[in-house]
Amino acid sequence: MTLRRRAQLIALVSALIFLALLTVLVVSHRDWSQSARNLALTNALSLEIVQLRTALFGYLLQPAEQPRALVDAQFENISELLTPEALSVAAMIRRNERTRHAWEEVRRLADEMRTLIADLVSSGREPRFAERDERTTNLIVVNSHNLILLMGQIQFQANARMLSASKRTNLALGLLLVGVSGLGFGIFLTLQRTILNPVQALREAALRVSRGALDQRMRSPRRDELGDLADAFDAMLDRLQETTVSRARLETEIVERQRAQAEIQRLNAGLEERVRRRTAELSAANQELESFAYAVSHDLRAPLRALSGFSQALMEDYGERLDGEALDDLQQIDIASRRMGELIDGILTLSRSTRGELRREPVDLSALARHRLEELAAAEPQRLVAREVEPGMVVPGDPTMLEAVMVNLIDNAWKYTGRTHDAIIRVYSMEREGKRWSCVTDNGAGFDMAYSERLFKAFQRLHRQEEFVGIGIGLATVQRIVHRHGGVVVAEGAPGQGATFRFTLPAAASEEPTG
Amino acid sequence: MTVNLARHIAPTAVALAMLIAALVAWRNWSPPAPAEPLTLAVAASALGAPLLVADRQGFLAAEGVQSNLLHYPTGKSALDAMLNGEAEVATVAETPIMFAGLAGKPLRVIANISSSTEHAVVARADRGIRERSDLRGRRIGVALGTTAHYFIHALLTDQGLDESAVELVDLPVREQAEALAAGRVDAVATFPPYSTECRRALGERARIFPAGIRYAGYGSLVVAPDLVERRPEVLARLLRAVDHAIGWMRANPEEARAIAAEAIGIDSTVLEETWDSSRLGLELGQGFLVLLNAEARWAIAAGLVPGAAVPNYLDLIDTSALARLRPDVVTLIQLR
Repeated sequence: MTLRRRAQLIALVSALIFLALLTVLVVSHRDWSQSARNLALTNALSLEIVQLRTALFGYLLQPAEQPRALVDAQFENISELLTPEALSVAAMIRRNERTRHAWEEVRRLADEMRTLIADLVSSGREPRFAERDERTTNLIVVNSHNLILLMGQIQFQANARMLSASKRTNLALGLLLVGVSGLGFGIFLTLQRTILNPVQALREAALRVSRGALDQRMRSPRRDELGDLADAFDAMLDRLQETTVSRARLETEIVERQRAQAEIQRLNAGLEERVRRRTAELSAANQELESFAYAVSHDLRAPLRALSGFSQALMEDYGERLDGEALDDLQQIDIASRRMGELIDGILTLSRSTRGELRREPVDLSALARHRLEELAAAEPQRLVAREVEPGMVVPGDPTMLEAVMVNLIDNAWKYTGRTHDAIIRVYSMEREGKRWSCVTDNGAGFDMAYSERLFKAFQRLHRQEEFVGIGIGLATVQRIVHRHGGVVVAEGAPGQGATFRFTLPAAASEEPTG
Repeated sequence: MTVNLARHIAPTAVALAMLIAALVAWRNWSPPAPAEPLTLAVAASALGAPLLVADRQGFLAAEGVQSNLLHYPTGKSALDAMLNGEAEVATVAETPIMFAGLAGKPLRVIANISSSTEHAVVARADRGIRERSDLRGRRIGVALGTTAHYFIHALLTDQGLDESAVELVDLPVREQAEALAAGRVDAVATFPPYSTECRRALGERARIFPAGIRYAGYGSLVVAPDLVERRPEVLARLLRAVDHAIGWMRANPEEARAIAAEAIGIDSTVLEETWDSSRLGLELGQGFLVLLNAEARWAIAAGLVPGAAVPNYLDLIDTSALARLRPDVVTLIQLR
């Protein structure tokens, strides 16, 4: 039942109880009022009857006109009071059989006495009526006595009734008071049970929640407004708990992130510092290395040239006197010194390949490839090599460096197709992995992919010098240039089946990678 | 906390109320007294009606009186039965009591149960009796020694006559109607139901002179003096039962009449005619004593009890039982 319905019910029941008690009180009070009127009437009648007796005695003692008039006057007074219309007394009579009897007796006796007085008056006090008059007088005296006694009974009843009516009224009043108090207490208890206690429980729960006990739940079995309120409170707490848990998690996460960010910033700060330092160190080392390489290549050239020159001079000047073995040794010295010279050139080339400022401008790789292939074909006209160059391969980059890349890759292809009939060298571009690749492919000697890592390392070779001459610096140079552009270079191939080198360069100018 | 308190208070209050009720019941409860046997001589008239009703309605039994009712045609014969020891209680009117008092018979009036203006002279109109004064010189039947005897005296004296002006014939009540109808008497002074029988016997020829307020007789409960001493409790029970019966009769007059008629063995309509002239009510008042004395003076003056003197009739009246039950109706001036 809802609180509203319950309140309406309480109001109805209270009103009914109050009305019932009020009715009892009103009825009691009316009864009391009537009893009071009864008593007043019986008191008045009693007084009149006493006065009647006095008048009667006066007449019996002195049978004269004046006492007779007094008696008649009293009878009139009594008659007025004894009318059947005396409703209040009639009501009293209805309730008490003895009072009714007494009342009837009073009326009867009053009438009889009037007749008896008339008889007495009419007898004229003749001696022959002496016994009759005595009998009449006796009857009058006895009746007047009885009348007074009967009135006493009626008065007693009226008093008793008045008393009981007063008691009933007081009782009704008390009942009303007790009833109203009880009603109030009952309403208080009901209110306490239905409203105050749940509200108190809700308040305590809310206080506990305010102190952080979010697992607090009312779980009210009630199906009224307060039950709904408790349910809503529980639902609110569910949401609050969820939100708080999420928030706590979020806060933890924020703290962790902040810590991580601080760590990152700290690391970044250190890293930048370190990078700056390392870059500086690296630049210095590079500088030093290049200087060293240059110095080495430059400074080594003089003794090398001396070694080569002196060995040639020895062969020219003392060739006839030297035996074949000595000549071979001298030739080996010469070859070795030349080889060393090539190596030194390679080192110089490698060191120079990435020196200087990296420029970014459109470079026509197709033109570079065509130009180089034509140079190679002109240098070795006896070789029949099919050459295919895709036109319009333009990439952004440093023209000098990219020329070195294309020269190295095309030279490589030219060299390793040296023993291949129907050699083909193709230069083209392709899309793969979302990037545009520039490729140089041949159908020459190829290589074993297991060793592909070694291809781009300086002075590392997969073929013997006798098969294909070279010092192993070309692909290292290619890789260094591509990497300096921020690009990637990949080699694919299989022994005897040719090789493909492809590289891609970032389209937009990026931070020039260092190192 | 308050709710818990209320939960404790309610059962405690109920338990307390039950305890108090049990105590009150225990205090008020008394084992029923064993029934007391009582033999009652009852007049076959309205006079005996309260006892008949008390017996038939079980009021006597309810009060613990094991009643044995003996029926007699008049109160006088009922009193004689009591005086002979045939009964312990008798219903009787004041005249036989008066005579018994003059004769020094042992009796005690313990209560009057009715007063009545039911006496009447039933006269033969066909013999020229139109007014009370026409009774002069007539032959009037009456059961001597009964209230009717004093009633005819009062009626005559009210007319300025006396018994010498008429011829009084002692006529038992049960013979009166037949005697009147047969013309052996000119009139009969009697009381119900015989007055009604007489009227019916005469039919249109009847002329009735009712007593009216000039003569009111009393119906009394009379017992042997020693009964008052020996068995006051049974008398108290008797009076309670009679009081109950009178209350019931006032509320249920028709049923009361039917019961009385059946007990007496007459038609209910016979009683109905005169029922209202009898006023029921327990009392012992001064009027009764005044009447006893007046009748006694008459009886002595009329030579009905030669050599007798008016006794103190107060000595024949015992108010103790009635005073215990209804002190308000004991209005006798008890100067001894």
